[in-house]
Amino acid sequence: MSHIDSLYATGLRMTRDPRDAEDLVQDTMLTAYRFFHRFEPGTNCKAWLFKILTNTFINKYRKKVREREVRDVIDQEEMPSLMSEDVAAASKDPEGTMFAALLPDEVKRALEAVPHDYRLAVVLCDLEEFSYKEIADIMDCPVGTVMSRLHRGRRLLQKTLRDYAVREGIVKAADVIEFPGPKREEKKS
Amino acid sequence: MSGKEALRCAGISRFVDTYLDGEFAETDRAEFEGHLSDCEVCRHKVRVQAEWKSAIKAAAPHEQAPAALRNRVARSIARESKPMLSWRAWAVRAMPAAAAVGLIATFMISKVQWSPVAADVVAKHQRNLPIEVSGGSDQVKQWYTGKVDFPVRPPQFRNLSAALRGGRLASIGDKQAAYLVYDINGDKVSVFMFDAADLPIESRRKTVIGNREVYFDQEHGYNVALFRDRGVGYAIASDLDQEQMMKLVSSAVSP
Repeated sequence: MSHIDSLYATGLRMTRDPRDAEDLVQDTMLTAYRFFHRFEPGTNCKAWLFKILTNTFINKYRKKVREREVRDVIDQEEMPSLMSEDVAAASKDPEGTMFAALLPDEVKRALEAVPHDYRLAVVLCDLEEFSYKEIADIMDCPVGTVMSRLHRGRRLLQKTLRDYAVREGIVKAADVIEFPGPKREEKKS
Repeated sequence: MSGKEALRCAGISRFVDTYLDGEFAETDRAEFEGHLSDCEVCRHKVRVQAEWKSAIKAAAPHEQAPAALRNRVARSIARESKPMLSWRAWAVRAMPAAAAVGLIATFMISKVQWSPVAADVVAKHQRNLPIEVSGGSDQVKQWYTGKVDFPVRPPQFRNLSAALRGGRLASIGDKQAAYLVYDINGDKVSVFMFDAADLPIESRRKTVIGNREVYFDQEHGYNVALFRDRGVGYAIASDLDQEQMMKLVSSAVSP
């Protein structure tokens, strides 16, 4: 059961619904049990379970999760040749303050706002720390696609979180003394 | 900044993610780092992106599977295994259902106690960390002199076609370690060495091979073998299965 927490957390990111996530994990574990003889000892057990998780999701739950399919359209877009504006903007934030105060709830909401395939790539890479090759295997796509999904997903996530930060900045501006004055003015305007 | 340089920065920027995800081949990584050392702008981009990556991991919600779900899974698997035919069925009968589920997820029954070393070692093994020194055993050994405060004797694996790819400095927990990468019949094998006094290596699965006490552990499906030799701790992580791991460890000699 050592991977059940990771499976459940990722299931939640995928389905965005605790009940669906529980069903998804239960089906995943049961499938893993039935097909355990196919698992090759010595290979990565967690990656194997996550592959079952995504397959189960696609087969059973995807229909339930109402989400506009933007994947094909965006996948064909070229990877931006320059760092996105968001990161450029972030790099003007010398103390990295916009990332320092992230809250789990914000991250959760921001992730939910990212389309499924991009979200899953980011979750598998940044939260579950799978390699590109493992993610490609789990998501059943080429490594190049993993890279473009990651790139796109991270930029979308950064944009959403940055928007939150700006909003938070406005809300909290009066309380936060360490913000230099001009910056606060900038945010208000 | 010259036009040519700007072009170079633009090219480099696309791969900040790849760099930070540890997915570069060594040569690409060296080239990338070469540029970083010359370019404050790109260095900054990398720093910001690295901060983001760690912030997102730290702040992400880590929900735990509810107890009710664990019970449901255990029950459904117990039901599934009613017609008792296989060793799995035997396992289910012999153990409480919840423990049987543990068997599937980790296929290790007896792992109550974990070595804290295994998780760290596997995390590093999975990444393609760049090599800082390559060459023969003597060269590598020489390179570590003065860098770590324990003797680094790159192990040799008798009767296996093992090639030492190189080494680098690493850490396990907050202790320094020497990290060697081998290629054994096409499989990557990571060997970590550290001061045996610094880190406990004991886990529940103990085997005596030769005159060595060897502990086996498993993390994320990777096998890890841990042992001590003349005051130096060794942790070996690989993609090999357990039987091959046993062979590997029994063939290991430190000159």
